[in-house]
Amino acid sequence: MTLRADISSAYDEIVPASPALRSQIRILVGAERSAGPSSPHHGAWQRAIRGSVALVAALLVVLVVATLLIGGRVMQDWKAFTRSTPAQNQPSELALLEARPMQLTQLHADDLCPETPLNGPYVGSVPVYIAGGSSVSDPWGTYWYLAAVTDPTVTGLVLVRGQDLRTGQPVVFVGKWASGPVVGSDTLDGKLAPQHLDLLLDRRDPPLNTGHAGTFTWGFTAGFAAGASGCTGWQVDTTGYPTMIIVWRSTPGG
Amino acid sequence: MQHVLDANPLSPPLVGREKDFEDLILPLADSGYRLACAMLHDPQAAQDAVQEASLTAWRKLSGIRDRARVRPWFLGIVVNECRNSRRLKWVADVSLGLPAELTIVSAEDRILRGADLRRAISQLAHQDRVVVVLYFYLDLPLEEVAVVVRSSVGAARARLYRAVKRLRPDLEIQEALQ
Repeated sequence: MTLRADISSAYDEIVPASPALRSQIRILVGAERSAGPSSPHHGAWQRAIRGSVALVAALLVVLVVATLLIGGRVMQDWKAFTRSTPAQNQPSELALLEARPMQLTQLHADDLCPETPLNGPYVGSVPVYIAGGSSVSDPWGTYWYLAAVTDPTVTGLVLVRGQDLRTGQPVVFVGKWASGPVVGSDTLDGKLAPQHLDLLLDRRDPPLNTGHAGTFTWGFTAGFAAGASGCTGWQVDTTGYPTMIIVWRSTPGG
Repeated sequence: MQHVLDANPLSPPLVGREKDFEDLILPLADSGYRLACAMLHDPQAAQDAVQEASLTAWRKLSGIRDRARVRPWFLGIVVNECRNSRRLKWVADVSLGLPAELTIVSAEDRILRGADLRRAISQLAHQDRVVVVLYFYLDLPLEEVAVVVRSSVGAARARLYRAVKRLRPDLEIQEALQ
């Protein structure tokens, strides 16, 4: 084998398929675009304040350094504070969201799917929007590569649970943000993936993307078992916000 | 598996910058992802890096005059994002990223060889690693490699030769570059 073939083979082993990547990029760019093009005035305004912001930032740095030099104890207290806070608050915050009652109502077979109207390219509203992407099907069912966009005001947890409104089947989640009880597993993109009942987004551990003005786009994968009607209800519970229900129709005529 | 792409019938027709992005940048996403995987050895971090690079490309797309140079321009942004990602995560040790299920005995030698090669490449200097991945893995011509690493073609070639000598000291350069 040539060096080129060796290198290609070596890297191909660690590069899994990423069929949702283009969809996720479209969603990210769509979020940026729908935030509105920045006008020339906006750019000029940004440039004008950049200098003063830098000056203020520099002064702040000097202030912080001076404070730390004067009282090393401040740092110790701060460390103790930051160490204990997440450990104490995280479980109770999640438990509070999990304890919110499910509000998804079951439909009869001949009921129309009460779709949530599109809001630009998304469904939903502040604090969480959901955008559609592409899907893959296998013998278990269909997986949709979707994205949730969180508003800048979201500072804590977002818990998403889903259910087919006609069949009552739960939506399952796989991948990075999947959480909660595991109800099965399936091979997706060549990997064995546990199927969870919850999607948990923690604003304190966000994805690396930097969407417009503090929004974050969380790519996620939702699975719908074979026989799903395509009329799906999402219950979105966010710390500091009331429960939001989004009804999403994934197939025409669903 | 049956793939269904872009199920969004409500999208309006693309015009202007949207169309340029769709035509010029999106087709490069896969190359960017392979490059990022090779640099980061972490598919999730690679996806994040390519998404971030795509956003940057979207913001700066109107400034692109020479469409023939879009590929090296975009891959250069991906390289920067990979570098930022590694800084953010304080990646001191490189995970080899071997999938757990790759334990088939007959393939063991090949896998070990691949792991050794990835480890050797990961120990090259950052720019040398970029040149090796672009030239050997993404099959970019040296002229484009040079644009990505912001050097002359000669300097890129020198980097490549130096890297090849470290990876395969027993090989003649011309033989290695095949």
